[in-house]
Amino acid sequence: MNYLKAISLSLILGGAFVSFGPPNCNLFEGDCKDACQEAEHAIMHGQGSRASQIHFDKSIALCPTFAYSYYEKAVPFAKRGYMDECMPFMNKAVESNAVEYLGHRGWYHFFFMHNYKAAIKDIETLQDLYGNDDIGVTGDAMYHLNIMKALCYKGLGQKEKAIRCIEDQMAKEDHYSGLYDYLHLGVLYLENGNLQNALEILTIQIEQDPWSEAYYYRAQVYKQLQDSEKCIADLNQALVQYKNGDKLKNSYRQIVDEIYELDIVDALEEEKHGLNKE
Amino acid sequence: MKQISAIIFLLLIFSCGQQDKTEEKPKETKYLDHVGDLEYDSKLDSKDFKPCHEDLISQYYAFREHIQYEGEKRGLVKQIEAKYDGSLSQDDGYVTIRFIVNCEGQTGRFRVKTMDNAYNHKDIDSKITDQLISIVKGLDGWKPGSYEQGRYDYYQYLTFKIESGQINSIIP
Repeated sequence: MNYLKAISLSLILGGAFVSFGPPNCNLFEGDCKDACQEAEHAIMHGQGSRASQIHFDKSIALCPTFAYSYYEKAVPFAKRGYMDECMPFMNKAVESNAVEYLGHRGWYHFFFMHNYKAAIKDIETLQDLYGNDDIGVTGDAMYHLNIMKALCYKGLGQKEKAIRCIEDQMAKEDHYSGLYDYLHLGVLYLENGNLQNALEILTIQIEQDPWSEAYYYRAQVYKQLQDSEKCIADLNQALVQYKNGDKLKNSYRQIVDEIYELDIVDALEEEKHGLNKE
Repeated sequence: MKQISAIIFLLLIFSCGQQDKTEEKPKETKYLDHVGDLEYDSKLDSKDFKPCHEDLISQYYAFREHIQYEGEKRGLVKQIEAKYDGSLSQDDGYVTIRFIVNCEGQTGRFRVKTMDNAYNHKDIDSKITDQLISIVKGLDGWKPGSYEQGRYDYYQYLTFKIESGQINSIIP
């Protein structure tokens, strides 16, 4: 596992959704400096707690353009299923600092609501603001935002567009390599019927990080290639990896292409049943 | 190492589930102890359901899985899809049902929000919402939050993305 991946993994598994600190308060003056200091008080309390929310409201009242407090106030609502209460604050954060918060809002549309059109719109607006593709990563450091955009196209059923988007991003010399980039590309190839590419890319994923999902989807490739022996071997290995905890995981929601033990068990039974019939 | 992780876990539980004792401000009606708290309402809630520790209800994400259910999320989705009839309405939008799973795996205090694709309130066809509420109330495979030997209450939610009456996805 390379250095970047180790950092991403520790961020993801270590709870990347904890509050990030406010900006350096010395960069602000007057009421906005006080607002920044209120935000510093807010994050000393549990996220979503009464004390935290009160401090953020005081911060916003002091400096209605202090984007950080809108964003941090919004976060616990999203995490607890109340996107209707989250989004007005998230929108205010974007109004105050679009460059900093458009990517976050797009990620929230994608991550918490599967609202792919809204997510793509935010990412494209961010690209226009930057004037290039160097738009950063998702708030949990799981993906470059262009990979997330590709997964949105996948969610909308535009799989060829999703493949092109990932291929283009991964071809860049300075590409931020996410933990699951190869897996998602391999699965997209599989879903699009490009079995040889799927086989190659999923094998790379297994060599890099042998997630249970990589074996599971490579087994689907072997199934379509009518190589039942390799299909069953990969499904068995998928189960081993799964039980070892070597799988996609996120305590907030199911990740794209994540599978569960029942998926593997059902696929194994189906394949073995097919073999017995022959 | 084990002791350190136990301390970190308990801190997480307390930070998620308890009022902050260091803040001596009077309660303001605008603020709940924690965003998303579901207080008992005799008009809505069954007296039979009780959290094991009313003052220590965590969030689902304090534990390792996004869905703690028999058969994991796949088991939950299978059960819901087997019961849901998507042919009764063509409506669109989001239906979010939030509730408590107690330390015995029982559920209660269900609250429902319905939204359009911009997350504004929308009255979604009751042929959809009534079904979903009934199905979610009937789900019987929930597991309590667990850490080492302890079993904990937690808040869970399910958001249904509905397109033309069909369940497009279930979050988380």
